[in-house]
Amino acid sequence: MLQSGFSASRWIVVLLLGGATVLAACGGGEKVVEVTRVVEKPVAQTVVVEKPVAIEKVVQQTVVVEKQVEKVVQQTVVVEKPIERVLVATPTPAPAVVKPTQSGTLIVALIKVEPPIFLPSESAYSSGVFNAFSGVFESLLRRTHAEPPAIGDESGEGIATAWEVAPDLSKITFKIRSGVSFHKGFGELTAVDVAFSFNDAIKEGSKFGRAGELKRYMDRWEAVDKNTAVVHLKKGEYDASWWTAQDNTNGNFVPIVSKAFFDKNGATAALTSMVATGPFEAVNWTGGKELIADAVPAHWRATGKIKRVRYVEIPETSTQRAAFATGEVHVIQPPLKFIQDTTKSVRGSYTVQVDRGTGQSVVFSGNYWAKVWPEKNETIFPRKGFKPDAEHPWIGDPNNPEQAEKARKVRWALAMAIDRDLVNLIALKGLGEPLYTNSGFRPKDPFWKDAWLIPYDVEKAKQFLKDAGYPNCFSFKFQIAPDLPTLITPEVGQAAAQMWQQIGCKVEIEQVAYAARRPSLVDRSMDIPWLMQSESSHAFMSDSKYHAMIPSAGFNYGIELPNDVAQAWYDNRTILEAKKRVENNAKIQDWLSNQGLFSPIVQRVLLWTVRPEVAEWRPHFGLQFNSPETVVMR
Amino acid sequence: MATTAFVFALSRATGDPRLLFLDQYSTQEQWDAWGKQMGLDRPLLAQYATWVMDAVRGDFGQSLSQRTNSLSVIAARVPATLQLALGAFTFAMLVGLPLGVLSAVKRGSMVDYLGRAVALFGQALPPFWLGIMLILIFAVKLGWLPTSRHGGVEHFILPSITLGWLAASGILRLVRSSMLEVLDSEYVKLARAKGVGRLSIVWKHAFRNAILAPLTYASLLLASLITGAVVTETVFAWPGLGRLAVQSVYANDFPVITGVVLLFTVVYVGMNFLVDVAYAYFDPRIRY
Amino acid sequence: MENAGAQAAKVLDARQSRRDRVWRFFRTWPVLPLAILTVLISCALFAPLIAPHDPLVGDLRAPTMQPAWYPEGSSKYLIGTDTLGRDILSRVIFGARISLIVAAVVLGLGAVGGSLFGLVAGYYGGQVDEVLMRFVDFTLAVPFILIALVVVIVLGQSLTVIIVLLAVFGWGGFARQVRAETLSLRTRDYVALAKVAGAGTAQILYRHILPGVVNTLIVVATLRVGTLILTESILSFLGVGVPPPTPSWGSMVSDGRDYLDTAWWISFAPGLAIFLTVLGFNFLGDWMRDRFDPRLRQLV
Repeated sequence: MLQSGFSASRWIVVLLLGGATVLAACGGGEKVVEVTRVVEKPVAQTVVVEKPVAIEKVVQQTVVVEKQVEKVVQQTVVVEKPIERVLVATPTPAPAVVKPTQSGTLIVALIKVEPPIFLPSESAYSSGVFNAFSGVFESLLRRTHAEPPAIGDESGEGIATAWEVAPDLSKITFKIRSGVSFHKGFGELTAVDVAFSFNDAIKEGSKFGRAGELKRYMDRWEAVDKNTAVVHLKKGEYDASWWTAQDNTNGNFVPIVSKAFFDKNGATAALTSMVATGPFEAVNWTGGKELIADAVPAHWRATGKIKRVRYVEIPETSTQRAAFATGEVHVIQPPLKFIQDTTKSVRGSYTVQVDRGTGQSVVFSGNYWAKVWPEKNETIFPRKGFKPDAEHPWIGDPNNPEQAEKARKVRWALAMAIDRDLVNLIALKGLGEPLYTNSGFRPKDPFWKDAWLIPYDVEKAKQFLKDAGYPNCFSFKFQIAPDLPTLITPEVGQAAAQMWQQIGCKVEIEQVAYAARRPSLVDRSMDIPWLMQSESSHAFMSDSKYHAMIPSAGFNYGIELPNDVAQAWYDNRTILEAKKRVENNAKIQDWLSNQGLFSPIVQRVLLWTVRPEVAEWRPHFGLQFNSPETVVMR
Repeated sequence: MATTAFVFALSRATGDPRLLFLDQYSTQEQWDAWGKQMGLDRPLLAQYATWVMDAVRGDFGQSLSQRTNSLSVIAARVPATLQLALGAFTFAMLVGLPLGVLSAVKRGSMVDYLGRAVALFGQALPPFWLGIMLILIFAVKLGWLPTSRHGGVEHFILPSITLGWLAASGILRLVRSSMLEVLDSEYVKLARAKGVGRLSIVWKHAFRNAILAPLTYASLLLASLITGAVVTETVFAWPGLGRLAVQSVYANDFPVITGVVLLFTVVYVGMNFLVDVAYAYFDPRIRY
Repeated sequence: MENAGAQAAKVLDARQSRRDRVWRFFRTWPVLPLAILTVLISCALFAPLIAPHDPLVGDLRAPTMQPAWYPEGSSKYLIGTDTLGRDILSRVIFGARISLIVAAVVLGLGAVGGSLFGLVAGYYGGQVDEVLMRFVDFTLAVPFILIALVVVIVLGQSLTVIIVLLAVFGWGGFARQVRAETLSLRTRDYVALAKVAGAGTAQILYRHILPGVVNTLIVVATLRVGTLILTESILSFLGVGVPPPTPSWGSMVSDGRDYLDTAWWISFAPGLAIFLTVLGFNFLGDWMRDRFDPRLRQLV
């Protein structure tokens, strides 16, 4: 308490503090001119386009996917001999400067709006994904548009119109198109900018999301002339599927940014330069709040038909749905269980499928069975999370066949106790389908094997548990992250946990946020079952899922394949023939299914709900909202 | 000071931040280079010392997730946070003060119980429930107010009510007990005996004296409104410090976490100081 | 005629006074709060006997069933079921256990620890007081939610961790109040007398000051129950509350928050339970304070 006398000076302090508070509160006014939000309440429309939100629609499209997969596989099989892949596409001529009729503002609600990062080397994974799909940046390559969930094939419509691999695999040469302008008047894009952007992404100390992957085979980039860029490859590291990392459907393509800006203003300013080449130019961008981008009047590839797009951050599901219902936002991606309710809440709203979606799978982590880290020739066994003891009955010890078999039975028991159809019904309202593999193999695929099916058999599950020495099951923790609904659908895990409880297990669900657990995945100390999304990529991709099951310095599911089993994956890196790649992947899948290290549960669908004010939207394959330039507002 | 050390230690404990940025292809050199850049290779104490020295100069380092100056990241959220806190404060006062007086004056009656029960809503209802209900009723069903986000005056109303209701309960209780004590005092009894009008007694005599305790509590209240709004901010997509802090914890964004905590501590200490000052000023017994 | 009038008046009077008496009874004794608390405690104690269903495992084929008074509801699930088919009523009843345990342990620890600090600080004063109160201030200044997040991430999510967290950061209020009480009590005559009689410090504290402080403790405790349950609810919202499937009212309200417009009963039932419990404790605390020591009115 006060000891000294009360004087005028104290008054001054009080006033100052009070005044400062008030000033601080009033400060920081909105820097953006508030765009009058045209909240279009549907006036009595007689013509209401009722797009049926039915399971039928999804099924039909899924069927289309199968066809698409087959088609692409066949195409690549044909191209077996030549190593040089010369894709000569007629460069699409820049469209004539048509006076655009751009009108309307599209407002999209997202769970997170990342901060602006316009320098590839500073763009870590999640920023990269956001950037890739925002419409502000352009990728080097592009795929042809195909109705989702199909993927499309490579077109020549990216910033690079064609590319050619040298016969000795030492370099790839790119033809860079002309007529691409940077935002804010920073001139025309040339090969110099391409080389700059890529070199920045792979430089020493780069935080770029895929830096490690790119650095594996990219040595350095060079601009030969205004329209020709060359990347020099590291010896023996060519990967035939490299181009998939640079197309517009990939969440972390290297964005091409302006070297001129960097030269003029330095690295710090370049970070938030707001200068890129996409159909939308960033006007105001606050991480954690919103991104406002205006359509470029005449874009070389696709001029936006709306005037402006706004991405707003609304983290809470109920609030997103409420904002959708009142018309404050036009597009949201609610969890699948709310899709129907959401579309019902607004007459004339409909759903759009953006992607085949990823699956949900239980990972029985702790099974780190790789003895050696091949790239470094280091012995890494045993890992921190390797604990084959009574508290972790799902962890098997490869050096102890009897114990390993018991652990295998435990894992199989838990997998068989799950009624996948029921989980689909409960968690996804039937919009998904049961899933049995983690690696893109589906029951109707050409390379499917029925041996990979996991039967729903409670009696057998109980028997297996008894065989393993746990007649009344056991108690364990099961991790389900609650904060990433696009990655992890908690109800799937909760339903599975309940089914385990019904056979006698005591399951305690750990709900800590995903980001909090991620370090334990990377340092291989994760040792409890957890729910994770399974890969959505197709089985013919060489590097789809197993990279997270081998020794590395990065992300890992919680499982490391034995070195001999993983060899098939290493082999795939140099194999170009798709059929052979798939066979290798199937080999690993055989082993995985037998061991039951995963218990895949369901396959989800990626659906966005859209208000009737949006007349049209044609997104491409991708896990996020994308292609705002295809949107037409009423 | 101790607080910052404590938080600093804790923030380092949640995990190596490098793990969030490097992927499966990163090499050992990258790992080391990163560590060097972040100063993680030095002993904890050295890291803390550097941080303190930087902090005093106003440099909180670069936000690991936002790549820009931590201080600017934090500062950008201050106005919105303060605005919400003041809004909630206003609501709490508007509800708490009159109800508290009423409760005291009509002590023991239905009004008293009802008043206390209404205020209790704020203490018993989780703010996310309250917030979502308000959104559903006023924004969706009735369409009177916007659902969320920062904006004009109408965007303030629902979040302020949500955040402020709990505070209202505290204010009401304090005012009530203060008033009761004053109403029972000799001073008031004398006034009654003299025949002074009821209303006059309540307002001129009782209230003025009873306001002392609640006012001193008020600044502490403001501090807690500034530091504890994370739920309201999440539900209403309000760009405030609470949400920034939580996201930074999940992202292992040390600079921002420690910066925010320091700010909160300063706020708390500052408000305590204000309390002392106000107490000294208002309490006639502590005149010097 | 006059007689009848007088008689009627007397009857009216009698009725009036009876009503008055009843009303006064309710005003003097905390009937409502005690009733609520009795229900609460019996739920907690006899949960396995009262609850109609297993709170942990539900019927997955009966998710989000409506309460019994709806046409599609059934008397099997009086207040309906949640998204995993678990009976809400049973979970609320079992939830009373968790709430009571948490409250009892946290407040118990807080009271014990807080009194220790407060007694010592208030009695000795001076340097000791300074140091101890600085420590208390520290626990009060720290933003609890952030610390809780970090601790749960590091130590893992469990009921024990949460109880310890709540206890560690809850005792500050106790300490302060006890200290204030002690400060005023230590100047009393009987304390001086005891000192003269040669009683040791511990004895004085224990025999003479503590009894005077107990009232404060009880009142503070009852008033803190509400904040405690609320904090647990907020922790659940952030994903670091009591781990599922253990039913705690706070996490139940949080789980149901996506369904407020469709399956509102999932959040409403536990929310009502929270409200009544907090109401009960608060009114009880108010009553005790009004009754036993008007000076305690300064407490919040």
